Amino acid sequence: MDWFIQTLWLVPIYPLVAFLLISLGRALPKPLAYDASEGHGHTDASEALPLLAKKEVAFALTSGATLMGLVHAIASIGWLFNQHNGVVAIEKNWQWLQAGDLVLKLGTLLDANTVMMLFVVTFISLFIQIYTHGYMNHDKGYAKFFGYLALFNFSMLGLVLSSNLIQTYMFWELVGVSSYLLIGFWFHKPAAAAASMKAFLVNRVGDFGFLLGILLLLGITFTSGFWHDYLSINPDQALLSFQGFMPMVGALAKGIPAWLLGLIGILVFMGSMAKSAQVPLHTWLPDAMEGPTPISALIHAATMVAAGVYLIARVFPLVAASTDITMPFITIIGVITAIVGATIAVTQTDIKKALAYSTMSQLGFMVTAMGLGAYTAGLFHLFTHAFFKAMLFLGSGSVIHACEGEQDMRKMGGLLKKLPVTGITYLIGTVAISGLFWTSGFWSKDEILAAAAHQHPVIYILLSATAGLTSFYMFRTFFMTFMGTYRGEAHVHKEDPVMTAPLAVLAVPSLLIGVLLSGFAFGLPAFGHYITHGLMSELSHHPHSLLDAMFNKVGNASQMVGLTGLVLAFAVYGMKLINTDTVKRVLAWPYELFRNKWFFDDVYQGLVEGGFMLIAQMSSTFDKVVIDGVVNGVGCITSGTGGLIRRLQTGRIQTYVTVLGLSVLALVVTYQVLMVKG
Amino acid sequence: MSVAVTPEIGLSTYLVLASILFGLGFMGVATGRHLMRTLMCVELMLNAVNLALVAINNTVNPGDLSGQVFAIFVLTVSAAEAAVGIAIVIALFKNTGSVDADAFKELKG
Repeated sequence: MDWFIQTLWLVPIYPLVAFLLISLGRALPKPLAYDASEGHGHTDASEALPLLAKKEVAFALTSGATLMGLVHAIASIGWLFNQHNGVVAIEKNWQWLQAGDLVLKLGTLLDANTVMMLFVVTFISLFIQIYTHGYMNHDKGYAKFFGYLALFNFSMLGLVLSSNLIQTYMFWELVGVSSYLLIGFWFHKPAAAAASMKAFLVNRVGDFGFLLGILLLLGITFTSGFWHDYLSINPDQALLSFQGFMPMVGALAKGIPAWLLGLIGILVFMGSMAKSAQVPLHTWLPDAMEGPTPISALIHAATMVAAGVYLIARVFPLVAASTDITMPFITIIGVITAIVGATIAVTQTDIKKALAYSTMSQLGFMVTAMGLGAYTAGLFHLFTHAFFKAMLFLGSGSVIHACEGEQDMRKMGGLLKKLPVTGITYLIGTVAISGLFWTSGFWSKDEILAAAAHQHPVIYILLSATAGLTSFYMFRTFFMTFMGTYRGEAHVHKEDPVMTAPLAVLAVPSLLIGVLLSGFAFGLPAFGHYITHGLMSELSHHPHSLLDAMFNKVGNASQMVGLTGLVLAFAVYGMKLINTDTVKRVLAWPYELFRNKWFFDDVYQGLVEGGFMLIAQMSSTFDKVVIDGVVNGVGCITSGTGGLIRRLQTGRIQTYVTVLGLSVLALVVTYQVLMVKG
Repeated sequence: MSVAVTPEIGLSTYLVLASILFGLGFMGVATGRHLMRTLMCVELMLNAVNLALVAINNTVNPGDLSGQVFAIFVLTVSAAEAAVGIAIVIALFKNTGSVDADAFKELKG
């Protein structure tokens, strides 16, 4: 038990080793028999492959590595439960590089945040890998896919465990790279290639702000000598260690103006905006659905997009120190994202796109909670959302797999009979995300709503309306996909047990984890108790007891709002009492706005075409006229002069001799003249 | 008996003669088109120089023979040069059938 806690650094190493071995296997020369049969999916030929290049080995390596990580995660949960106001965090660091006084370290930090994320990432990852075994079984790139999955796990676990902001940034970028590779996994599809590029570029914008924030913070704390003093008291900690954030921000708040502190907070938050798909850097997430569905579930629903929220939690002292600038900024961005995501989701007909916008909206809820200072509520929603959203995505993948790649919900319907396990788990996920009937989403979302009600009634009303909308569009996808009659042409296959088993497993936490950690069940302490157990407790603006007081009122209201959404969706898509075309006609203006995704993509397109392309055009003209003019001018003068002078070289000896003789004569005469004068 | 008035043959006489010879040779090299003629004109120029060397030596420092020795060196070298030059001319003639200097201007720029 203790061994697993002490060797947490191994957790990212397992998938890294798996990734390297799978890459090695792919680089090994393949026997001729395999090449000849490639594309036919011939199983005999794959037996001739080298051991490392086999599908089974790739699967075993990746899932084995994840399983080992899960064992560590469970051990660390045990560690967390056994604490009694004693040790709240374990930090271990190894020196990475040194430049003068600047010593950078790599390390692991174990506290309640880490435990939660470690469990979410390894648990969901493991079941998604099992699901992937079924989903990608006939894909030629099976081993490559598992290699990339292992690479992602390495990056994500390194990010979760990192002890300081600099290391976080390294793994932050690695996560971005793995996301890029996996979105563009089917790169022969132009849409997938473009989507991966878009994800990468949009993330660069946010990461640039994040990097500036880190450098600003590093510059200020390092030159002010704060870290020198801090590290002399805590010699084992790393530069910009998360454990040192509280005293650091305290010192900063006294030393630098408030706007500078706010600026650092906003710059660091820009990283979160890009990764967690917050307006206006959200446009990559829906496009990222071009990647294989397990990737949408793992990276673009459960883990990587939540890393933005996790980052805010990590640097929360910095955010909380700027109550006038950073916190309102984060809140406003979060609320806008929640509303924009939910409204767009209502108009989507592609099942994965609808889920993607719903993810975006839910991330908006989490970020709002962070901005409101309801630190534990945001993380609790991250925790529960990871389970039911991963399950919903896997369910949509199962539907798409059964319908031979069809993603349009208008060509589905009545699938509950043919895909019973998928349908029931999808319904559980829908209920959970709508926050109905005391499922996990109810508890976490209502904590956010309670925090909003406490903080500002406008935010509460906006978020409640969004929650109602969430219930409406989620039940819309359910009714369109699973109820009514089948409208598609594709032959519906049977469910694959390899794919439905993970769905069934994920359904359990989707239903129960909320109530288990709500603080109302079996005498178990609330989720927030563990999270605020540590150094952040004095920062959380809302002690849990205050939330409890708000909870009943808010809880009942949100149940009502959620049920309204359910009833409306049933009326429109289940009973067909209201014709959707009429609604589209009556609400033409909002419908167009939502269907065109609030015109974000068009505005960016316009900005790129009008602004960026104009500058590019001007630069191009400048380059062609001025720069090329200088370069070509030098060339022209040289060759022109040469062309003139070369006529002197006649090739005839007589000319040379004449010139020689005349020159000597001229020399002698000149000499004589000069001598006479002298 | 009348004594014919002969102008004194001094250094300037020799130098004038040498200059005339050199000029003739130079003109031959500069204008001549036949390569054999060019070679012969080069010999003429060399011999003009020899004449000047001997004459100057005899006038400036009569006891010393360095001018004469140098002239003999020049003769030796010019013999070798003539041999090589004629060999080149013969080779050119064998290869191209021409000994016209104007025919060889591949080095034209």
